[in-house]
Amino acid sequence: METFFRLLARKTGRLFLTVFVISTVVFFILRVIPGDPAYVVAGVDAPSEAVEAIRARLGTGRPVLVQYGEWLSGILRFDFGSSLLSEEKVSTLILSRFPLTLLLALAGMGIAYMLALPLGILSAVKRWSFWDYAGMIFSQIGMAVPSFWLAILLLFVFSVWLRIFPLFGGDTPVHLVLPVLAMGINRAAVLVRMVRTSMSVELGREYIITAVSKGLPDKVIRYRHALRNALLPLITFSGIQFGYMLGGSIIIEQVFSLPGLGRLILSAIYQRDFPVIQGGVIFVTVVFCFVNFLVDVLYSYINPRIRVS
Amino acid sequence: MSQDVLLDIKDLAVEFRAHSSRIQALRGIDLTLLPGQFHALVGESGAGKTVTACTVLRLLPESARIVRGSVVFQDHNLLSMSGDVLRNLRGREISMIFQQPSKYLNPSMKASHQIMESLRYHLGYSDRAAYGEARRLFEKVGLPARREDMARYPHEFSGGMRQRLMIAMAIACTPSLLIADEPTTALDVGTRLQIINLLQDIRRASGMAILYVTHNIGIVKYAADYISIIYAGKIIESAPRELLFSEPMHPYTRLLLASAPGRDKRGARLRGVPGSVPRPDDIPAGCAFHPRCPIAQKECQETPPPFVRLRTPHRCACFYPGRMGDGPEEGPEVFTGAEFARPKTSFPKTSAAQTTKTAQTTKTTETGSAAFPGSQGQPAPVDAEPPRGQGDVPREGAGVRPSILLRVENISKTFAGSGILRRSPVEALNGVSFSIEEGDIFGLVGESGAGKTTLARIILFLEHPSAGEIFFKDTRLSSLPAKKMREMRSRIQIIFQDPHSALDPRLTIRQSMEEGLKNLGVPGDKRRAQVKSLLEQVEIPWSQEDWYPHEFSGGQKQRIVLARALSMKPEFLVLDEPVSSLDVSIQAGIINLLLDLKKEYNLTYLFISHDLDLIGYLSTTIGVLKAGRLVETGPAGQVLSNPRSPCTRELLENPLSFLSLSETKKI
Amino acid sequence: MFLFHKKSAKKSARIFYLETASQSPDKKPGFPLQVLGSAHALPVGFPLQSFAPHGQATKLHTQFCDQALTTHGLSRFWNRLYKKSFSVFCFLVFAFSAAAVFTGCAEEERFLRYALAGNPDTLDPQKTSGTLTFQIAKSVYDTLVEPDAEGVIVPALAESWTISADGKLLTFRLREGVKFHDGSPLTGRDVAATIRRIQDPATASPKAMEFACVGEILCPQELVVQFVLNTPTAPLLASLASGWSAILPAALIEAGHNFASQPVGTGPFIFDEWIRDNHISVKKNPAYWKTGYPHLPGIDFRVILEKAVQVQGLLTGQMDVCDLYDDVDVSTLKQNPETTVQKALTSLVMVAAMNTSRGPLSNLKLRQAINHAIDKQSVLDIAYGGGEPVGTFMDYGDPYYKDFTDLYPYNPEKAIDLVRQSGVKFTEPLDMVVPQNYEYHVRAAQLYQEMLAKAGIPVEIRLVDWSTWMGDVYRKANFDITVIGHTGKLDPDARLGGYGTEETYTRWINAETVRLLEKARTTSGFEARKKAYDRILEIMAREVPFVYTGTPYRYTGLRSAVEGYIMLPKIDTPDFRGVTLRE
Repeated sequence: METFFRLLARKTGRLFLTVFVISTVVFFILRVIPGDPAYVVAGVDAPSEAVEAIRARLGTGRPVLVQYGEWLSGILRFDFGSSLLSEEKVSTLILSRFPLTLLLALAGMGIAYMLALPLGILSAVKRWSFWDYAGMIFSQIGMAVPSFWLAILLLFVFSVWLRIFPLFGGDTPVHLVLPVLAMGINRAAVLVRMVRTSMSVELGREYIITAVSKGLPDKVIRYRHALRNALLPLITFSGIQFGYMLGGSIIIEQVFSLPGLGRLILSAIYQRDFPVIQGGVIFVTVVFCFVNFLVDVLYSYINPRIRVS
Repeated sequence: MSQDVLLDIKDLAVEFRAHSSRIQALRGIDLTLLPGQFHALVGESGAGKTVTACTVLRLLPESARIVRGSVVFQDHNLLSMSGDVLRNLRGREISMIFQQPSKYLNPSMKASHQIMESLRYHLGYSDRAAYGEARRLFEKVGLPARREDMARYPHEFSGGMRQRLMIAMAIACTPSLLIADEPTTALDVGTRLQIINLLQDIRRASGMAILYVTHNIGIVKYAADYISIIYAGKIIESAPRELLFSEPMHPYTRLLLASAPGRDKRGARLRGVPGSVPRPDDIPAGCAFHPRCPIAQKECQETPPPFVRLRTPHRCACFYPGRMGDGPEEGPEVFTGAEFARPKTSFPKTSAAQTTKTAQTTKTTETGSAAFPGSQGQPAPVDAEPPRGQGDVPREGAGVRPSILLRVENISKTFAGSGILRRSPVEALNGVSFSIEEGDIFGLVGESGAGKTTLARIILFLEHPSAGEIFFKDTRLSSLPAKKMREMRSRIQIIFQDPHSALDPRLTIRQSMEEGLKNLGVPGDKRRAQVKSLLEQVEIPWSQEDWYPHEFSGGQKQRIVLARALSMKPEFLVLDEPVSSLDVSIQAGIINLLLDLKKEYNLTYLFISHDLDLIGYLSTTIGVLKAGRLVETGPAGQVLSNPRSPCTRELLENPLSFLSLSETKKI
Repeated sequence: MFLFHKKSAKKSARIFYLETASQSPDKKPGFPLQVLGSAHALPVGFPLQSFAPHGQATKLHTQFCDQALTTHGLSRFWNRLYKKSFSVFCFLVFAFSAAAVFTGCAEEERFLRYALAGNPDTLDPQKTSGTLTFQIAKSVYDTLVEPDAEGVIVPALAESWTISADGKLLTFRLREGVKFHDGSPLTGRDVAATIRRIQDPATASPKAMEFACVGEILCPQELVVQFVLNTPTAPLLASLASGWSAILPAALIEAGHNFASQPVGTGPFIFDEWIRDNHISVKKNPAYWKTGYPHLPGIDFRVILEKAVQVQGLLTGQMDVCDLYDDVDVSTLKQNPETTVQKALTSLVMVAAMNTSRGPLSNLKLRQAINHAIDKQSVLDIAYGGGEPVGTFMDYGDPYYKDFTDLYPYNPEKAIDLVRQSGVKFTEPLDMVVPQNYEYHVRAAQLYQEMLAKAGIPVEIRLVDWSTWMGDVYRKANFDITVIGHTGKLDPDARLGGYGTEETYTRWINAETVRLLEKARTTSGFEARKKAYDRILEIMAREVPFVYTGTPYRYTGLRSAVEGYIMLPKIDTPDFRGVTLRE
């Protein structure tokens, strides 16, 4: 247990460093690129006096280092500031949007694994069979088709043509079916290959020969022996997978008009709503690091070879 | 066959399809195994031992095809058996253990579960019953059987314990046949003995037969009831143990027995087997051994000799069985003796050289030990003594004694410990001191994990010692400036166990060899000439200079590595298990070459091995390393005949050692 | 399995059961899918087990948690899940499709669904200039006066108003019995507080300057409010009719209420909820002052970024109103019996603005050449979906509009000649900056580029995002040519104010224009003001700081059920009060 806490402390320390570096970089990049939220607020008709007044209200006119210092001290108090435009607390905004994105990412991963595991395992077990080719073709097409295109295709087929699912909105579970499928299928394509490779590698290992020589049934050899070991690399990968999912959700949220975290950050970028962008990026970083930490712990727990004793 | 026969393999031929070519792995194996028999299948790598073993359980890869023959087990034809019946047989009637238990055990399954599995599937045990039985098996094979021990994973066991675990797994359903595919090859001599004894005990207790696949003659001599020698996919000789060792019939068997190094052969040149094992896709017509056979006739090139019964129960596949090895011309060659004589002879050594010169006949252990004054109670050389007045010793003896080339003083090494979560320091070496005189062969023997390789790495400055100093010709290596250090590096070279990883697979051997010379600043034309002469010296045909490493056999690769090391004009060579991965017949050739080169280039060797037979055969001085401490050093003769440390004694008394066996044979 | 239609799906729903593979046969697994009809009512983020009536899904769930974490259980778990996964997958698909079908069932009285092309920044009308905000604000808030369907300013919260003879005192009489959504009654104090709020530097309203002329604000009676002006200011009434003059309750202003996300007004609809980037819903205000209005139970403003999705939503009946930008969509919707298309002239002036302060474009001859080189009608037709060329800086339908289209007709030869006359040698192409988020401006820019190239004027297009355009181009004038549209204004001063000084992004300086603008601002009476504006428009038409491309049409797609939908001219804001849904 003690080692576990040490690991936790180390990871937390690294997390703080990551967050600090990323937030600093984001902060200064935002100040360097052209565009000031004051101009967006002012619109075309306001004279320059009005722009100055707006800038004073938003606080974007002050020296950058002063703004940075204020923002940093805010973060230390877990105060991420308020949106420049809608004046809502950034933390409220993010927390109201994150559940949807999280659900999308998790459900997408669920679909991805649900599709990829059976297909990948079948491909590995029955190599060069119909299933193997089917899996490979699925994977090839899935990887070649960008997820937004798949999303539009799904929309066209299921919402426009068959009219089974709604076109837009995120109010009910029904609205999430197509987005989750679009994300899941896309990732599944990559995963199928990983599962197949991982499973084939394990099936080719020596301990499988031992299992055969013990006279165990094929099913036991495949699922009790090979699959468990094949899953280990996939567990590590799922942390990164989750990152992909968070990133991919931006596009999917855009296409399906879902009010998720990705779109919040994206529109904040368009509007130069600095606190929202900064807060959003930090949040995503923390979530990603946290998930990977969980994966590390899970992996070290599941893999006896590196298990904490 | 009679009912007594447990396993009967007849004319078994197996081939592999690889791309367009067909590889004949087995070309007609005949093998009969009686119940309760310990049957050893002996052969060099590539001979088809493992394929034979795997064919019995039909564990062959998909690319394999059984061409002809039959495998009958208790009246069941294993080759035509349906999958379900076969599965029922596997693990229950016939089980198997493998060479590398670390690979052949499922890394993510608890030890107890791996044992319980077979019990559940074959015998229908409940979880509870299976667990109880597993515990009994743990105890039976000598593994700790507490609950937490049984819940461990394979990686948490040591190599020997893992093999015990495999055995426990294999004997779970009390099979009547156990196939053991080189189960002890990766283990230490000590552990090896324990495993063999364990197998013997189990066999005696349960009446289980063992088909033991190995290339180690020591084991065979110690444990086997019956021996079959396999060469190029065919059994060439089979006989009960005593008969085979007392009257080997096939020339190959004879040469094989002669190539094993042993302390009794000290000073004698190893016989070896000329040439190398034929590649399975290119097996010579007629008798497959004829290109290497010293007594081959025209007949042998044309007709494959039949595997015939000579006189019960000896069978041999040779037209001229027992013809070779009796005449004096075939007897082991004899060293000139200069081999062991130090270049700058000191007073006691002179007598040794004279003794060797006079001993023109085959040396026995006695003459060997007589060659060394240490064994006769004379004062041991300086290097064997614990440090005393280190500073002035070399100077003192500079005129008379051979100068000391390498002096290791009080070397200790502690590793910080690896792993993310465990950080307890590991002590690899503890106060090791010795010195090597010019022209010596210092044999460092010890079990794996004793710190041999760490010591080698420290001597080569690949690793920094935690404490202690190393002097090379009185130069303190740790104080050398970087530039001098680079120069020094070329004077000390190392040969590793694995020649595959020592050669860059993308460079031809000439490119590999020229690389080092380039660094030394040797001009292009000279480089070529040097490479040529070196390759000739190690008996690699010059025509093969543009080949890539993978086109050579293991022994040839080791020769190339040796040539490359020599190109740097070293004075001192560290040989870290240089022949351990090679077959016995090849091994002999390399050892002979090493001895020749030493003479020619006036080299000094530090020879590291776990094999006491080998060390005992060629060293002038022996150091025994045990758990990071040098427990004994002294002249070879003294250490071998009169060991002071119990560790050395234990090593010497191991019945698997060829020496002890060859002595028993004489009785 | 996706092919069920509404009727058959209900029928088949009874047949399908959830398969739980490892259940023993005595426990009858599953439950009719019909139960799931209510699934769509679950909140976002519903847990999986909410579906399971007998705790079966819960069991699956806990199995996952417990077993996935132990090595031993892992493969057994996977074996089981592997067997189950397909049935679980089928179950989910059926559940969702069934729920989808039920969602489609008609509610008694449904909200109007209006497609918004983006998420408004804020719902505080005084802190933004965003069009999206005003499109919603019009339904939640009211102004003292408002434009009618013809653009004429008519009473709203003020039932009447008078202007003193010197033009310095405006008196409004407020309607009786008007109540804010929070229940408080409307009084003159609310109006005063609202105007003060706009003027307050702390509010930093982009429109604060429009109210700089207002000095004292008096409330002689509860329902009378008087503005004392520093100078007579004709455009003030128009400002008061615009969205940013929405009257807010004084008590909440003083309390520092966050109107940005919790708007409170007197409008026909009461703010209900705003899920950002998703939708804003408002529901009927039963106590609305205009009796009998509104007809709709509420409006659902849907944020849909993809225009194609908007149109598909309209076609599939998931959307009632959306703007159209594509000819193909217009004709598709026209042909569909369930949809109609409204065509109307906007109040926009589409221009290619030129930076007269730098480079070759300070040369009048070159600007004239550019104006001759461009075929405005073609640009309107191809890029903007049709429209009327204007010839000066005023939209086609405005009462102050004057036709100057003959001044620089499309004449490529003359353009080439004028380029030669101007003596300009192009060492590098002109920098044409276009905001990339406006597809039609990008399309227009490509046409301009092609046409100018024929006249020998090299142009390079640079796409920027909206924020960059606002800051870098519009404010800092870092461009040669830019393509943009100017939105409609109730008063010509709002459109023309600032021109002639270097305040504007064209950096075009003309003293006469400045003088005339000042005069027109302080003059009252349409005829007198029109005289001044005619002259200003003529100067601008001749000096061409812009290419005045024209006023485009607007196409709005509607479900045929929607009746009474109007877009108020000049402020380009939909008025939902008279809209009904015929079902």
